[in-house]
Amino acid sequence: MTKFIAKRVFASAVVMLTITVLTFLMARVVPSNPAVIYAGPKASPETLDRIQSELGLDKPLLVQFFDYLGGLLHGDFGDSLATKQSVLPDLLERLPATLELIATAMTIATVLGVALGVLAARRRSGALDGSIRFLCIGGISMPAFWLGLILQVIFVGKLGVLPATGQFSTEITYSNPLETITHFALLDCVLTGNWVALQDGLEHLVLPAVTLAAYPLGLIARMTRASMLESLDQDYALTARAYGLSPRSIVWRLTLKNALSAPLTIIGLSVAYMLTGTFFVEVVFNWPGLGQYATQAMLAVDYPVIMAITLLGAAGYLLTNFAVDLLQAKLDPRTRS
Amino acid sequence: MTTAPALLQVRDLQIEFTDRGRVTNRPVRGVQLEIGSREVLGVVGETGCGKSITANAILGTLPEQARATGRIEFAGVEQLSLPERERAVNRGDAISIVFQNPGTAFNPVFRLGNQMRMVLRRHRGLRGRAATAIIAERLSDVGLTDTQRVMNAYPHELSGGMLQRVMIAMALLCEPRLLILDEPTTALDVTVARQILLLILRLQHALGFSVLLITHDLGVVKATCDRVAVLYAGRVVETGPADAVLKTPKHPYTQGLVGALPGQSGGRLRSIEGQVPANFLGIQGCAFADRCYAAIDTCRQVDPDLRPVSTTHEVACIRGGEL
Repeated sequence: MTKFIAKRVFASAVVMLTITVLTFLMARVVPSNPAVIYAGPKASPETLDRIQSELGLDKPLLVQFFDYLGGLLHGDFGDSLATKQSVLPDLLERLPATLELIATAMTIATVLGVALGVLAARRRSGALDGSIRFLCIGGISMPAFWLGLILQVIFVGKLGVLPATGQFSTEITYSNPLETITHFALLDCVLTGNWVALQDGLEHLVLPAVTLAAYPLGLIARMTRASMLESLDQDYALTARAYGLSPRSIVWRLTLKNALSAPLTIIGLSVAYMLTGTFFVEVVFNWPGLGQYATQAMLAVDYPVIMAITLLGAAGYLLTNFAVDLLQAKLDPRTRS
Repeated sequence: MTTAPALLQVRDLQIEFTDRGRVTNRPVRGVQLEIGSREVLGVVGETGCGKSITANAILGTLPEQARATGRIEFAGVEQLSLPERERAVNRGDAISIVFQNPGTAFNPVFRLGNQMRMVLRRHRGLRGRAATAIIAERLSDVGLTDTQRVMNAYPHELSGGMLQRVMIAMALLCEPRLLILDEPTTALDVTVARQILLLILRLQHALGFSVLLITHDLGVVKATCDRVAVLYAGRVVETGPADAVLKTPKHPYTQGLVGALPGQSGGRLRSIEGQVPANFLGIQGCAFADRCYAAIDTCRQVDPDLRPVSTTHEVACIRGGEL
């Protein structure tokens, strides 16, 4: 097991380094001068030269890369070309809101997806199976930004039961102001016992989380259903039946563990989807996370920010898949060798 | 026949497969079986003659699309009319089964000890140390000495022979009255198969359960069974004491099977021409007539019932007395 982990950590490090090289090269290859973006359109040639040497753009590419890599190792992602601010603090300020959103969406997608998949498999070809499959197709095929708008129309416009946008209501700032401990807003609410703000925050979280969860939920449910049907068809399922175990424990206690492997892979891949999917959702719901920051950076061709977000996404992706592999090994002893 | 009331009595068992109300196959067409207490009954026949599905019907684990009619009496209680919940109570308890392939019959992602614990918890409500003690005892009964290691092992960590021993231990956990063995040695090496058979016989003598042994190997029947029932195309064609049936087979099919045993025909390997029909729906007359050396015209019109040729030996062949 330790060997397995060591191998994976090494492989992840190699992948991370490769991604760093690629993002760095891409930023340099695209025909646009960072110095011009930094200085603005009306800068004189002398100013441009000065900025070029300030940003280190006159050094050889290899030196530039190692400067960048050295910075990364110290947690320095460089300065934003647009705001002239260091990237890392800006990133850290916005990251928690995005992580909260992704974590909630992922939990919804996983728990509901697996449960629906198992139910559909248990009632194969029945009415419930049919409706669940219909729901899955819907979740998979609807674009997130469109689904977000539709949900806003229904739950905000027609029913008026949920807030439309933002992370908290403005009134909260005055009535029950948030104290910051961990920067994770909801967690801080719990830690400080600010229940009014917590409820308000959860109400704001529902729609964007559901919107973001729809696509992976559909995938996970479908995969669980297929995998569950296969597993229920195996000899060991018959053995369980032949030894008098109840259908419920055969499904939930026994065969589900066999069947989880395939959906688990999908769950890992879904995180990759969420890292980009959240950008659209955050714009639709005006969520104060990375999404808006990233979109602005892309429109402004703000390389350091784009590179930082790319690297962050890659790291998140590697981390989740590492976790998935560990879980996979935990679930199936045959993969542990 | 045993004089005591039989432990298991199967009368005119018919099994049909249906697809949207239409009968697609009838793999069992009126099977009669009887097992006395402490008796070992062998059920023999080629692949696809309805042996395993008969066992499934007795156990109550037929697939969804199958429907069984007739009577299955276990310990005096008719089983087919019982609701599923009451049948499940017996499974793994009073009636237990050992499957053909121990490599796939165990769940690959649970420790063997835990799989056995689930059975004890279901039928005896036992957990923890009490359960572990019984499991360890059964494991040593089947000749596995390092019980702790076996309990902690996953199925892929043990050999086929060891796994089959564990399977037998699991089947005996709740001290069954009837043990069904569905080709228990087919997936094993010859030497291991022999050990497993001897083990089963020893346990049967010691614990006194009855056995329904499904096999296609007459050699196994000869070595282990008190009585034998020969199945062909979903019907019992011959039944009686194992010695009598093997020494003086009356049905041409049994004669073929006995003749196909190595060493029975002067060193030459013989076989029965033809195959078991794939579907038993269209069968008219005796199902074996097309492969039979002694078939006459009547054979293709009349499907004979079992008739006694001696007090204990019965055969379903219109020429059964003369052959």
